[in-house]
Amino acid sequence: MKKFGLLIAILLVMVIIGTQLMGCFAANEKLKIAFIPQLIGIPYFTAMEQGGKDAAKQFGVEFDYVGATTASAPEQVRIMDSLITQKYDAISVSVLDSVSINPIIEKAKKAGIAVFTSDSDSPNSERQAYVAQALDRDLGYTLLDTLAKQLKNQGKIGIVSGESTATNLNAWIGYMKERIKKYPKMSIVDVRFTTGGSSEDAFRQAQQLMVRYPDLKGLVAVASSTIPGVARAVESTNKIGKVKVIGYGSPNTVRPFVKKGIMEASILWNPRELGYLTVWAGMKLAKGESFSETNKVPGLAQEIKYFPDQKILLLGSPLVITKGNVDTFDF
Amino acid sequence: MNSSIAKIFTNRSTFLGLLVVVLGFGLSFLSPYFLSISNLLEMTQFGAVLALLGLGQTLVIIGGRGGIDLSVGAVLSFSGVLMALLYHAGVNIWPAAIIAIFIGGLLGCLNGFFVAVLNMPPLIVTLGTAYIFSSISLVITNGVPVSGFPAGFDFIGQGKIMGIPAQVLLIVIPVFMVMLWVINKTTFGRWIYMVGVGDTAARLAGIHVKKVRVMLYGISGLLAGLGAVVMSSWLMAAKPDIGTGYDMQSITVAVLGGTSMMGGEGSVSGTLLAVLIITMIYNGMQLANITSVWQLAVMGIVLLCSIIANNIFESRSRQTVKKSK
Amino acid sequence: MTVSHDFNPGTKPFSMGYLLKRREFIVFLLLILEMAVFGILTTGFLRIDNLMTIFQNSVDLAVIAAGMTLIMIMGGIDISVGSLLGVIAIVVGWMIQADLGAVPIILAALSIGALGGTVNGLIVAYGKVPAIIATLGTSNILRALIFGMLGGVWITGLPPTVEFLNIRIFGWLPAVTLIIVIVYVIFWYFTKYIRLGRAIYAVGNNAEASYLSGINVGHVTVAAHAIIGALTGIAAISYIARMGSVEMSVGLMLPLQAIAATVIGGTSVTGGRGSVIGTLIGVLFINILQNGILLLGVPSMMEWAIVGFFIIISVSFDMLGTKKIIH
Repeated sequence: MKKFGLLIAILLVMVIIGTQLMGCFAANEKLKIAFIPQLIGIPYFTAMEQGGKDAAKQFGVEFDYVGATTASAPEQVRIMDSLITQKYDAISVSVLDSVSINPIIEKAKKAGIAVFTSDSDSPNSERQAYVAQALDRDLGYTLLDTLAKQLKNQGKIGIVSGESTATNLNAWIGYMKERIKKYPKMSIVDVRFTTGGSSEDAFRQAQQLMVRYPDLKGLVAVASSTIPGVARAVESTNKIGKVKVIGYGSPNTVRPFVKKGIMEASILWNPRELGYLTVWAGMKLAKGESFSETNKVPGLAQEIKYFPDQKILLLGSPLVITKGNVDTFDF
Repeated sequence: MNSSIAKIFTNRSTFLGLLVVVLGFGLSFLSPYFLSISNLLEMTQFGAVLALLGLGQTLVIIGGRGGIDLSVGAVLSFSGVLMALLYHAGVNIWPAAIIAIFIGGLLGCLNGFFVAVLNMPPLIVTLGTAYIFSSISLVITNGVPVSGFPAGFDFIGQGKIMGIPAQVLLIVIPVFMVMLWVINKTTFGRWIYMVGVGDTAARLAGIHVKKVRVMLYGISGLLAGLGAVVMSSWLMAAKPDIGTGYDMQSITVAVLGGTSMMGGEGSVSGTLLAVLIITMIYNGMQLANITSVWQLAVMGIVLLCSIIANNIFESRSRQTVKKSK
Repeated sequence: MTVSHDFNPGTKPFSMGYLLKRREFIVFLLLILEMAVFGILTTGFLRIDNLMTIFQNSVDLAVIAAGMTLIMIMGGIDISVGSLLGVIAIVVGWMIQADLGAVPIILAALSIGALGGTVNGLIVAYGKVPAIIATLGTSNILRALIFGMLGGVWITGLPPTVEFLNIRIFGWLPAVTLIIVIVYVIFWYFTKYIRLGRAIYAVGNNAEASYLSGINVGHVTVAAHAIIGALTGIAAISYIARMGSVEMSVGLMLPLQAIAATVIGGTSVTGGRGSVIGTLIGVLFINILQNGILLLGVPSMMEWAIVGFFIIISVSFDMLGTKKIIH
């Protein structure tokens, strides 16, 4: 037994030394860039992953998409910590909770890693930049304006969101509430949250909202995972056209509902381009280069604006997906 | 089969210890970063909260009569939120932390009261209170994480002493030591196992069964409260849904560590080893950039295989004992 | 309400004392009370389309809870049903996309479900792993499978192969709710008159004694798990018919809800006691509660607190009730 223990100890020491040496010799020429989504398994982030891969091929860098199966802040911290240990050159994160991520962002920065946020921000952190799809305010306002146009500026609206703790969803809802003051004949009657952004839960909540408010005119599905449930609820209660559904959903998610006329529009941006831009920004930051006020990114048609005071790199303005253009996208 | 080898496999803690070593080797091949001293030490911070909850869960399950605590995650969320709100109401952070721990204990005792005094099934009681506690934490914070803790507070969760995370060195290890002492050296420790084996026998032995059981749930609550302090300090924010998922994870580590769902059997060291195993697997696979989907599946496989393997060795050794007799 | 077996020959049927002891009866009274309260306090609750919506939404839970009742009577538990439902729903979705007919789809769903259940049963019965742990393990594996099968995209916009389940008979009764009726009638008959059904109660009451009386406990355990698996297959079809889409969080809340419904309906967590009718009432109780509290205008975040409160109330009511009778 003693011998056995000694043997294990010797082997352990050897492996430790070996791996430390390996760490020194493994010099990689390619820049390593990682992106941590809020969770994996949802089409939106999958599209960002694909965009990132496209960019990695284009610019000759290594790109990894590393996320957890549930939207959990400690998981993001755990994953980021492992990326720091693996000595990535740049790490980007779609922030779930803008407070708890800050200490680990600081740690990454201390380790000499270019760390920035994409898709969802933590403005008070040490992040070096925020790659934004569109500004939260524009997203909230555009959605409400589009819905108002559909409803001819009057009617009651119900909101079905994801988890009640999701920072970005709550920000958009906040701006919707701000914007609705412009339309005196419109009102938000209720905001319902769903467990884990479950489509089934969203289905139930949407149905019940329509029972409680028989004169409901619009339903907003804020989390993309709630869109199928909310749209299905309207369809199964035969209220297509009577209750307009709108949300932040990718074309592939909303296509069947747009075609059936349940949704007239979905507000989004191109997550593929966002993933692309994320890798480009990571590359620039890792090399220590700075952004100019307008940037030409190879592979992206539009000019990318940069706001140095807030360190925001802006993909563009929100995209309104309608019946007319839904088939032109594939993400 | 060689009898000394058989002994290794039948003693759960030795079996788990061996598993730790084997995993250490296996994972070092997956990723060169895994087996560095700094990583091995830093890795432990991710198991700290789970260790606290798992230890509490272990006691509750050992206590028998279907003992289980599904509310540990919700108590964790609630205590954390409460501490943050107390701090923002003007209470100094350290008293607020102590109050939060005690509130956790109180909520645990509430579970214990339902279970032991009102004779209600633990599974369903703690499921109900889990729903209630987590809902209340959402309502009182409106779903928004509470932050703005004072700068010194992050020491527990982020400080390091000789490279060892403070929450492990100053919280988990002392808690573990105390529990080890209570279980092995005190009458209360013996009572826990006797209560777990059977109510009637324990009552005949003069043990106040109800009181012991309320205390077990209370301890689980206290540890969840302590977990809340560690978690809040680690994230420097109290999130109202932070405990989601910890209920099942804590049960997993307790059972992986050799605690019997029937009660009366189990050890805190087994649980701690199980936490180490799980933390290692997650860390090693993450460092190898294996997607978390696989981590989920591997957890399931490790859980099932290790228990089945242990059962097989146990029944074999029982047979050899019979034969030798 | 006289379906359950609790091996208590001393009580006379239909006396007041007997009825008050019957858990199903108490929960049934609670259900009526609940409906009355919501009927008075809200507009819209008692509307036929709202009630039918509740029934329609209860199908998956009701079907799975029937299986959960069997498992829990045996003293077990199954927390893998949500993930299993997800896996089957994806396969069903694929088959619908491949334009296979309803019959192969139903057969596939039933057999995958039964297979999954059998694996659980084998692990529990012969691997000697406690049911909660065995199914937690398989649940993790199946959830990983869901992520892998979906590959980061969701199944949406399915053609209407199983839409016939949404047809409203007489213009108001959703066809899918007939599944509840069929499953529960079969189960009622099964637990009362079929040998296997009675064996499950016997195993739950006393595994050792039933082993000595010639029941193969292992076989019964595997069979019960296979049954809940097959039921999960049915539930998966009804899920697809209702939702028309599958995303990766499918069925996440299902196991705990099914357990709650079963226990509210009077099934003992330690086994040996329970009835499927009670479970059905439990399912309706929970779904009506969730429906009613939204109609009352209770904020979203309070919802689960109220559900949790009623779970505890309904079980404590039972405990106090039985205590009184004993004294």
